[in-house]
Amino acid sequence: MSLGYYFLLPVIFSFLTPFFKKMSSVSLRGSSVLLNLFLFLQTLQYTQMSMPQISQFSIAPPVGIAFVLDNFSLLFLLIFTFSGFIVSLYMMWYFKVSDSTHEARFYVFFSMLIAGSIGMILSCDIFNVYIFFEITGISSYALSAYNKDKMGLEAGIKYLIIGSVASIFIVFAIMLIYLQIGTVNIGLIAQRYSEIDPKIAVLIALMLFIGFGTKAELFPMNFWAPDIYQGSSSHVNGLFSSVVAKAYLFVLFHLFYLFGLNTQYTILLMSLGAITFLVSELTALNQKDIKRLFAYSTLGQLGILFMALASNSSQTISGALFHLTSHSISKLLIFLALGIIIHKLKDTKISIVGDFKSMFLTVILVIGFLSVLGIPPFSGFVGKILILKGFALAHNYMAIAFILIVSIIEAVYFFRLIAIMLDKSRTKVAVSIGFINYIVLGGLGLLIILLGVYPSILTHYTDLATNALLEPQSYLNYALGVGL
Amino acid sequence: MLDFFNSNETIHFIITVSTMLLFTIGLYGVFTQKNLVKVLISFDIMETALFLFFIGLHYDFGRVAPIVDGNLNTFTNMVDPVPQAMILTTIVIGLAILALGLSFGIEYFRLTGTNDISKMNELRD
Repeated sequence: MSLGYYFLLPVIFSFLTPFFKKMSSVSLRGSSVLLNLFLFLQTLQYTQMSMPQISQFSIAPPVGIAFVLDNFSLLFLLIFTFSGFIVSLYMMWYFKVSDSTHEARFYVFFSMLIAGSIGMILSCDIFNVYIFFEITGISSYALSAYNKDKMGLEAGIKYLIIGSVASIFIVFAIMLIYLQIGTVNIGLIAQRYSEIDPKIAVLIALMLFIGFGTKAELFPMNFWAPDIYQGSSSHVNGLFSSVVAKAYLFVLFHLFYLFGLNTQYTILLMSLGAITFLVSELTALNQKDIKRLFAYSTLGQLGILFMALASNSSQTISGALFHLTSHSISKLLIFLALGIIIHKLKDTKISIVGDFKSMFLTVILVIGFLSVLGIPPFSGFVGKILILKGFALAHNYMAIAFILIVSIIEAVYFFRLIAIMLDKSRTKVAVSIGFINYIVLGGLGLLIILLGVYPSILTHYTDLATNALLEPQSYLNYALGVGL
Repeated sequence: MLDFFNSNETIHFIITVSTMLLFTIGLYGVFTQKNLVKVLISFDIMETALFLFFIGLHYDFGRVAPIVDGNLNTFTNMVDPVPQAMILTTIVIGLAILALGLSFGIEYFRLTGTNDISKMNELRD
């Protein structure tokens, strides 16, 4: 299958959504599940092939447009298609039990979001990266507000203004690069980045950091994120946390290593990541809204990822990629499970985690919380311990101490949540979970435990991905169209 | 006397200064205006400034538009067509964002009767 179908199929589906809706709602939901399942199975098939793979459209690169898939983007492709599949399954349940008047609107932008995120990680042309950046952006603004309620619209408006300003910076950076080098192909830019006038190069790097950092929720440009998470629906938050933020993170670090910015800006990104981690976990302590709390928790985990991914050492980056995968799965599980509770109780205060009666949901949520916190035998523990091991091998003991100390702050609010949940004196309301959700949430929970007990199934891929990131020669050859 | 304007340096200097002025006006508007529509307009001013900047810097004095028609069929003495193609795409994207933003504004106004972004403070700690 040509890589172009990863983008084309969801977009075609998105445009056909009104016709599906006219036939029946079930056909719409079912075909969305089938599409996402197909993309996920196709990605699993790619894991057996030799990397990189290329699909060029009409003219060969560097002049033409091409999609290149290497081991680094393959890992993200796996996460995105898997998350898309899980969310589409969950939506089968969600639109059955709740108001489905806005159903078609959700599916239009959901498919667009998947298409845009995948296009962003596959494209090897910086202007196309910008176009996919905007496709992802516009669909996420619309997803924030798709219910047309007051809070959702407010979140959508705020997200739109911040996102548009971020995109202006990206356009500016691309224009400066084109003015200096006269190309938009990532391979050519990477080869000739050192020819750029050093002063302009600093400006370009800053513009890229501001643009992608704002979207990837890096301190100090992440003040908008908790508002957006609070206003959006819970399943949309799952998508934001596990797909959208990760896609922007991918582009940021991909360009960071390809353009050789890692020689100058490592300290800057690591310290910004550390501040993100500390500030978010401290702010999370006194939150009253459950979605806002997990928004801050997401920011905190992204802070660790920034610290580890910018660190230049292969062990740490491999651990960070493991942690990133595990964080995507855990946050998806937490937000989807919270969605069930919020749908039943019609409330988003923190105390709702203690107000429901369901053994299954309690166990699933505790698995999710402990995995994000990094307690064995769950996958978050392996991710954190690999990052710490990487820092230890690089003799960066400050970072280790910092992560461990801030993790204690994190533990405070997670154990408080668990205490509320297990409090017997609260009046509990029974919730109906739905057959599909037993499969979806149970599967995610089992996956977290599986990755925690046998991390070697994933570490194989994260090691390959780290190699592809740090030694991008084969990616560059493909992006430049050498030897095709 | 007006030959002074017929050089690349002068034209590029004028374009850079004036578009950066326009950009600053837009940025100022985004951060100070209270009405959502005005914020979106300021954002559009900012974007337009960037477009003018980029296309202007790729214009060299004495060159013609990159259009091949019956009379003109050589590729010499044309300006670089790539920036114009890119800007055309960016204009379309900007239009899409503007349309989405205005539709959000309309829906929000229907619900609350206001478009003041300083009153949008339901989402907070």
